[in-house]
Order: sequence, then structure tokens, then C-alpha cells
Amino acid sequence: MSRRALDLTIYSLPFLLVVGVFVFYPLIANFYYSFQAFSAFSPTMRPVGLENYARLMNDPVIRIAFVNVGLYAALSVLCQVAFGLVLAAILSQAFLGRWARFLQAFFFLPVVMSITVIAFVFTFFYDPMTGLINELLAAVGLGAWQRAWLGESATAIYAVIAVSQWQSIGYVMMLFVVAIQGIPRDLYEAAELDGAGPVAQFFYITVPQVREMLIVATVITVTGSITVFSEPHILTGGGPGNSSTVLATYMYRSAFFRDEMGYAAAIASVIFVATMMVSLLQLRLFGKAK
Amino acid sequence: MTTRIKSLSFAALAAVMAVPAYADVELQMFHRWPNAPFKPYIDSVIADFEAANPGIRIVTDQVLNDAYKDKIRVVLGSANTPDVFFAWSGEWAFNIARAGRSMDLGPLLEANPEWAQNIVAEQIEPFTMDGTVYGLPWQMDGKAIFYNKRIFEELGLTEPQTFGELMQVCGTLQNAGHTPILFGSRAPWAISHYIGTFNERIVAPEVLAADYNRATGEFTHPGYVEALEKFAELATCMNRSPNGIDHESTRNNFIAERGAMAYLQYAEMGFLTAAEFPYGFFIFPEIEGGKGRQTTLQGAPQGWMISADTKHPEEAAKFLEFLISPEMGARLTAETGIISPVKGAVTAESATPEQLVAFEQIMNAGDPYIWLDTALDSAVADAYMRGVQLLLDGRMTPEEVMMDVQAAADRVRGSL
Repeated sequence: MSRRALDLTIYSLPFLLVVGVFVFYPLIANFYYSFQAFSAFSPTMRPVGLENYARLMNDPVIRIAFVNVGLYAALSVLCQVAFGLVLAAILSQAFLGRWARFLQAFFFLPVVMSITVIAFVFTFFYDPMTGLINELLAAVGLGAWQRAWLGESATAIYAVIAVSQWQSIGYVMMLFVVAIQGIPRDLYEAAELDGAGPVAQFFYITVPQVREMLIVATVITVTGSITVFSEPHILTGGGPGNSSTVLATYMYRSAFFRDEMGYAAAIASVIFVATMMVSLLQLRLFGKAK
Repeated sequence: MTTRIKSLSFAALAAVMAVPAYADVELQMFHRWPNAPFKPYIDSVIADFEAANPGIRIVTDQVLNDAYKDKIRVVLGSANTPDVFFAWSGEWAFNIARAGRSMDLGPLLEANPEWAQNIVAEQIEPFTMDGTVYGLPWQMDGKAIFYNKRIFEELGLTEPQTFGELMQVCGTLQNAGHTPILFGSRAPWAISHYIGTFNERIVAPEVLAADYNRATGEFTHPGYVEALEKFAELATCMNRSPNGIDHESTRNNFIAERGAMAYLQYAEMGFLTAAEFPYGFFIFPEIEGGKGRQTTLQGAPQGWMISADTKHPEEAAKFLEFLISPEMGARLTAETGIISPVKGAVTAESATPEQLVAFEQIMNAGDPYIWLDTALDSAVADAYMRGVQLLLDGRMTPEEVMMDVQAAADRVRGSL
């Protein structure tokens, strides 16, 4: 072995070891577990072949979870990416002066707060008997709109999604603020001389110039939606029934409540494949964008 | 110089060896009470135990009810199991025992007959599987309908003896502008307490025994649908949208007089000291025409298990003896409101008049029925509770709920 090859091996070995132990081993082990039936308590496993996957195909809860993840992704892209970009463009305007920094910090603040704390606070906001939201609706004469936001199948998933948007929009906005700061100012000056207003400048300069960040933000948001857990887990536990169940909460419930570890491993495999597909799509789109 | 180093080394070794071996014993304890008044009580008991047993140190970890149910599964499946941990009785405990994760406590009881006789024998039974005792009770509990005596007296109402009378009481309360029954089912276990009660009153005991057994459970008896129909009838007396409210809010709303009744546990009496009205309670009334047992009390002991993997079984057993001693039992009732299963612990000195009544109810109830969520296999219980959430939301019928329960029971039977 040459000196260079030896150096490469020595330097990359710790990395390979860490990635191997903490990423690849659990991944492979999870696939193995997905072909078994076992309890969280019990050391004994029973091979069941493709039974867990066959059950997945016919499980109505999985379908609900996929629909909810789709909703999560669509609304997150709309709110976080689209609205986040508009917000970033506004907060990058010169006329805001020092207020721009303040407002950026204001919108970014929820990002640094613990999602557990946020979810608990929103639980109180959403309370049907004493919650702030229903009280506000009554105060402005919209008492008829009062709902048990987290307690009704029709609204639970949207109430959960709303919390995620409130928390995450600041992060995506900051990504766009950074991207917008990299756009040469003379493009805007030239457009202004040509008579383009702020809206035209946004669509013809800002959007094309932050295209790469747009893709990155979209992929982050969509993969985040596929793996979302904390918000639905804390706010609704996936209920009422399964109405706000997403893939990760169903996996967790199967593993640690229903004691079906093999089935939970199969759901984890589905989550892995879904995120993998989105990531591959990202790489492809990113390559094309470049 | 070498001689000096050698001397120092021997001195150091001698110093290490002089420390008694038991000085290193550290017991891990995992329980479900991070909140007052329970945690301060447990901490003070541990401090007393450590003072009396200088060689043993106890380190605790604790998370609330629902999180505990999840986390205990993770830690018991790991290599770092707690030596002593909280346990619900019934199927919940048997699941752990079947997996070989809990120690047989029979030898401990046999070795200390005087101490063992102090524990109410009926409370050990729900921790006993195939003749082996896997857990010991620390708390006796029961479920009753708590009511606001002031509201009842204002409206001239009395404690209902039958389901029909309960519905009449609800009607009177509704007409007077009160919410008759407060209920929160956001955490699904609260549903299981109601459904367990309706099943107990409506379905024959032998049918329940067969269906609650994971090896034989089918849930095809029409009584289960009838039980859900009766529950749906009672739900018309409850606050709107119970699925959006958790049980703690229900209790707080009862204390704040936002409703006249709530189905609470005796263990919650400690919280009711904040109520500015007198309260009473009664066991769920009989259901006319029901084929089940009509006077039984829902409730089961909760207690402690010792991990089968503990490296310190003697010290863990010693700690359990201390925890479930007459002295600690009396303190438990006095300081937390929890009713101790240790004989002589619940007296006029340690308990309030209400707790004494509750104690009598538990002792006279005979064979109590266990909380449904801990009596059933967890997959079946999950199907039941999720289904009833949708029943309350008007999205499922009783028949549809039971179809899901039957499917879950089929799957459990098939997996054995």
C-alpha cells in the first residue's frame, strides 16, 4: 500500500466507522427487523417474511398517514417556501432600514424555540373550552367559528400543520434572505430604470436568482414533512382516531404502544424509501438547475 | 524512591479495600410522577431509605403517565434497565413478565411473611400470573363519578342508582344550564375507563373473561356494540368536543365548577383539595337489563416491579420493603392522597373522610375490574380507544368501532 493510500485509509477510517455504526448498521438492521415479529420487551424474534409489508399495503391507517404527509408537504411548501420567499423579499427592502433586522429576528425567533414548548403552548391556545383562539373568535363576533381545533377530525391535521408553519417559516425565510443578499444590486437598479415595479422585480429578478435556494428549501420542507413527528405527537397523538396520524407517529405508536416492533420497522423502511426518493429528486433537480 | 512509591501504592490499595463493597450500590428507579405532590413524597422516602441504608444510593428518572408507557418499553428492551420501576397491574404487567423482564417476587414475600401479610392480598392478585407474583401494589385505586354537592343540592338531586336515573340527573342539570359531565378524551386512556365500565355492566363476566384474554379474544358478542351505544347516549350529557380536552383539564374544569360531574380516580382526590365546594362520589350505577356485574368497582392496584436483569436484587427488594411498609403507607396517604394497600395505613389520622369512604368502597367492592387499557393487549386497546374517539366525533358507528377491535384481536391471536 502506498503512503498516500495508507494516509487516506487512516484519516477516513474513523469517519467510515462512525457512519457505519450510526447510519448504515441501523439502516440494515431496520430492514432485517421489518421481516420479523417481536415485542419491545422480548429478545425473541419470529421471522414473518413479507407479512409486515403485505399488511402495510392493506392498512387504511397508512393511507391516512400518506394523505396527511402529502397535505403537510403541500401546505408547507406553500406557506414556508412561497410565503417565506415573499417575506424575505419584503424584509430585504432598503426602505425598512434598521427595522429589517428586527423583523428578521422577530420571524426567526420561533425557530430557536423548542418544538415541545411550542406544541404545549398551542395546546392551550387550541383548548375548546378555555383556549385563546376560541376566545378571540368570540371577542370579534365570530363565535360560530369556534371549534375544538385539535379534537375534531376535520380540523386536527390543519391545526397541527399551522403550528409547524408558524415555527418553521422563519428558517426558510432566513435562507432566502441570505440568497437575496447575494443578488447583484445593479440588476434591481437596471430594472428600476426600465420602469419595473417591486412586483415585477420580484418575479423577474428575485425568483430566478434564488432558484437554487428555492429547490433546496422545497426539498428541506418536503423531507421534513415526510419525517415530521413532534408536532402531531404532542398536539394530538395522531388523533382523533387516526385523523392526524402521519408516518412517523404511526411508526412510533406501532412500536411503543402497540408493541409491534417488526411492523414499526416496516413503516420506518417506507419512510426511508420516501425520503430517499425525494433526496434523489433533489440531486437531479439541483444538477439540472446548475 | 521505589520503596516509597510501593508504600504509597499499598496504602492507596488498602484505603480502597477499606470501603465496604455495598458503598458502590446504586439503584436505578423509574416512575411516572414528575409532579407534586407525588415526586416530593418519593424523593423524601428515598432520602429516608438512603439514611437508613448508607451503602445504597437511589437514582430516579420520571416522566408523566403517557410518556411513561412509551419510555418503559424502550428502557426495558435496552441493556440499561432500571432496577425498580412503576407498573400497572393486569395485562400491562403480564406483558413485561412474559418477556422475562421482571423478577419473581414470591421469594421476597416468603422470606418476609410478617411484612407480606401487611399488604392487602387482593391487591397482589392483579400482579400474579400463573401463580407467580411479578409486582407489588403501592397504590389502591378506583374510579367513581365525582359530583359537585352544592349544584346537586341546589337542584334537589340525589346520587343516581341506575343508568336511567343518571340520564335523568343529566337532563335536570342541562335544563338548569350546567354541563352535566365533564370529559376529556384527547389522551385516549380516559376513554378506556368509560368503555371498561360499560362492558363490565352490560356484557356477561364469562364473555369478558374470554375476550379480554389475548389468546381467545374475539369481541363478537353484541353486548360490546350495546355498550358503545350506551356510552354514546351518555356522551350527550358531556361537554362538547371531548377529543380536544385532556383529562387534567377535565379535572381542573371540575374544580373550577364548569360542570357538575366527572369520572375521576380516587388517586385524584389530592387535587380536589383546591375545589371550593363540597364534593361527593358514587360508583358507576347499574345499567338496567345489563348482563354484566352491576355493583363492581373499576380500579386496579398500581405498584412496582424489579427488573429481572438487576445486579442488586437484594438491595432492590430491601427498597421495596421500605417503600411498601406500614409507616411509608401511612405517609403516602397523608402526603399525596393516594390510598395505600398496606393494612393499617389508611386511618382517620392519615386520610381525609372522603379517602376513608373511598378506602371502604375499594375494600368492599370485591373483585374489581381492571382499567381496560391495561387489561387488554395494547393493540386491541389502541383499536378500541381510537375507534371511540371517532365515535365521539360522529365519524364511526359502534358497529364500525367493534369491527376494528375484532380485526385487532384477530391479529393478536394470530401472532401468538
